[in-house]
Amino acid sequence: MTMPDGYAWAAIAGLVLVVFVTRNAFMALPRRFQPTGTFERALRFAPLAALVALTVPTAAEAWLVPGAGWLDAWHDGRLPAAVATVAVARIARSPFAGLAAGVVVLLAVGGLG
Amino acid sequence: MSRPEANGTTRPAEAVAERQPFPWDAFAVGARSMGSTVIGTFCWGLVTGVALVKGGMSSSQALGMLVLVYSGTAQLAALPLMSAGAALGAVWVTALLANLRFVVYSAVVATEFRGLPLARRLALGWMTTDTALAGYYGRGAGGGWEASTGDEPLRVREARFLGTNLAVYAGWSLGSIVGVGLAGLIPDSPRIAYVGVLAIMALIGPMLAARAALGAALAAGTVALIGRDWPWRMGMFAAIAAGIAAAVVLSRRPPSPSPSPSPPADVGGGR
Repeated sequence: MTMPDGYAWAAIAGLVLVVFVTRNAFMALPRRFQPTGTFERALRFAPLAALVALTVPTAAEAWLVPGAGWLDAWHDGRLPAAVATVAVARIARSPFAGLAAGVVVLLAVGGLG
Repeated sequence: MSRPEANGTTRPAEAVAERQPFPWDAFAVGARSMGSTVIGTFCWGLVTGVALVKGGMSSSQALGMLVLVYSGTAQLAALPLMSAGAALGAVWVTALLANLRFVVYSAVVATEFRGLPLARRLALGWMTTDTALAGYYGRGAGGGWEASTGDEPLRVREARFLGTNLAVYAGWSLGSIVGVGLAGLIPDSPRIAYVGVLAIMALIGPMLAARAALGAALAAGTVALIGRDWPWRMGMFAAIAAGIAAAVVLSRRPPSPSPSPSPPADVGGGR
């Protein structure tokens, strides 16, 4: 049951446009309408906020299950792996060290199952 | 240290720089700064490629979507609707809402690269991803998130930003091609997908230096948890808004004791 070609490519064309327009919404604006001062500085934290928002709900999934507690989250392994990743990356100032620590914790606690 | 291109008197210097060769060293610095994040992007692309094929797309449709749309969130938000044959308008609006954060990024890129010709700004805007933009700002010496890039010449900043973006694009494209190719062999393993999530989290760690960064992360994380089931990924948009709001509050500086009327944009560096 493959997607019909016409439908798929029409959808893709629209999505290309959506991504292009959202990523360039402010780009064509004249300078005086572009953000400045404190707001501009604060905007630099937007990617950080996005990365946190992208990842935290997945990391905390096991903990969020109704009736689940910290012990379930520990045995699931994802939350401890996330904490290890961020902590080691922060202390070592190295994303690679953080990722390695996170994978080790994920495998040690929860396995790949 | 106001940006040189914001100042009319340094225009000739910029024009001279235009004729000089492309600063490949800055490009390499940008690409290298992504480091293991590229591996994470590879995993993310691989998983998305598998998801698209398993969602009912042919290999050529999936490859077209992966390489042209170039936004994992937009693709993953649109896919369930496309699999169900939903109205095209619904597919597009869902992707638009899932990608509202890019409007914020476009403001960041627009201010960072004002002074470049419009076509080049649009190209940079199109390829700006979460991780590349984060890597671009996170690179500062000692991992200082707030290390201002305003003292670098515009050409050098553009080359470094291109380096981060193209490294991510390469990782994404390679991963997604492998994913489409292997879709039949790879089991749907959420735990393999989670390694991609960890690789993105690894990028968060070094950014948590300034008070404003910690506040932004806390606010965004809390709101993301509260809004995780909101439709169209609106929770994610709200989380980013909350993170920026926290950063605005925390990076507002106390009134300066010095009487000199220095513009606020000039106090970015130290903390």
